[in-house]
Amino acid sequence: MSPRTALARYGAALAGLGLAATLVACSKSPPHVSLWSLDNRALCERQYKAPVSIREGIAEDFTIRLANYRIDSCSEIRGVGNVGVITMDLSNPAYPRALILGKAVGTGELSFTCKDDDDGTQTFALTVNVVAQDAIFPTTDRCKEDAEDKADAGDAATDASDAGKSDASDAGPGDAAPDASADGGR
Amino acid sequence: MRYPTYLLAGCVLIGGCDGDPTTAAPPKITEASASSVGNTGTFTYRCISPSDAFCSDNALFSRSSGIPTLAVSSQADFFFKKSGGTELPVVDVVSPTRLKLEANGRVTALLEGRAGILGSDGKNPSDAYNVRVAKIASFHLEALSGKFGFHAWFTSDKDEPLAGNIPCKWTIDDASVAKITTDPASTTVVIEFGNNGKTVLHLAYGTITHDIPVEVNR
Repeated sequence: MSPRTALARYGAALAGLGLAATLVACSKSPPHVSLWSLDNRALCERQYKAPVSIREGIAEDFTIRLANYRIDSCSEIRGVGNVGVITMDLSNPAYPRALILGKAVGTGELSFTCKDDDDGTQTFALTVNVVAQDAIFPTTDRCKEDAEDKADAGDAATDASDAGKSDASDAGPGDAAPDASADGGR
Repeated sequence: MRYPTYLLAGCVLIGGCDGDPTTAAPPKITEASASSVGNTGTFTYRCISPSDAFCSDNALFSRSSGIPTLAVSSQADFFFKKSGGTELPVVDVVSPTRLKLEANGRVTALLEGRAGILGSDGKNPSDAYNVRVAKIASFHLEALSGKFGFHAWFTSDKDEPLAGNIPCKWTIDDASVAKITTDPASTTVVIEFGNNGKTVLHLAYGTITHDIPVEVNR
């Protein structure tokens, strides 16, 4: 065996060991947290990519799934980070809710713990990106954006019906409103 | 928009212009509700006073659309009732730069956009509702019936009527000609006439001001 061949085989062995080490590390890594939109309002079911983007000052509701972990073994879990708060309602194991509050613009990590059946404590971390209210969500959050667009369209329809009702009420008999209401103080 | 003085003279002639809006019939609408973000309960909006346009009788708002959009600087009461639970005042806000939870439990709108309020299940914050808040872009005056006065209501730049207890300021230059008999911070003002003469009634909300000339000829 030439020195070069021996070196190559030694290198291959090292690489194999490295791969094995990586696999072990993966199997011991914390369970993955994923957030899903899963209700009638969202109009779609899709996993949100990390970091999850929410708007500043807004509360958003998700279904949370913990891969490789029994969430129904968790008691109340609640986490706080520098950009927001995550509160979870685990009373319905089929629909574990995560209410995420975007308190301030920025990216941060919301960490929370869950106590399992064996009294072990597992820590989860969720990266949250809190964006300004007029920011456009990245394409990975398209599902959420779709839902918001639908919600806004609903509001617009409501506005239109409001406008019709306002017109009707303003035209009441003996009412000075039509004169008085013209562009006051704009 | 200036008011024609004949309107004022006519009001004086028919009499009954010194009424008090607080003695008027109570508003038919005093609250509106909407499902929480997580659909675990209901948030309810309540007008603090009849001065809130949402609870006046002018039917500006669509009653079926739930909780109305609040005006910046306005106040309202919010409550949360978890399904099968007891109604409780909201316990927190998501962002204190957008909404302020006052010591008396009232919520003050600070910034336009959407802003979350949090309801409790009796122990912990358990669900939320995102309130819409808009800046006042213009105001409108509606003459009161049976008395001389006005009710001011406000709209956003999209002509959306805005709710909430909005801090107005009514003043009058010459109280010997006409006197404000109602709370000058209310959106509703009632005028009582005095001596013949001319004066000006002013309405101010922030930087928005409006002058209404008043002439009394008995």
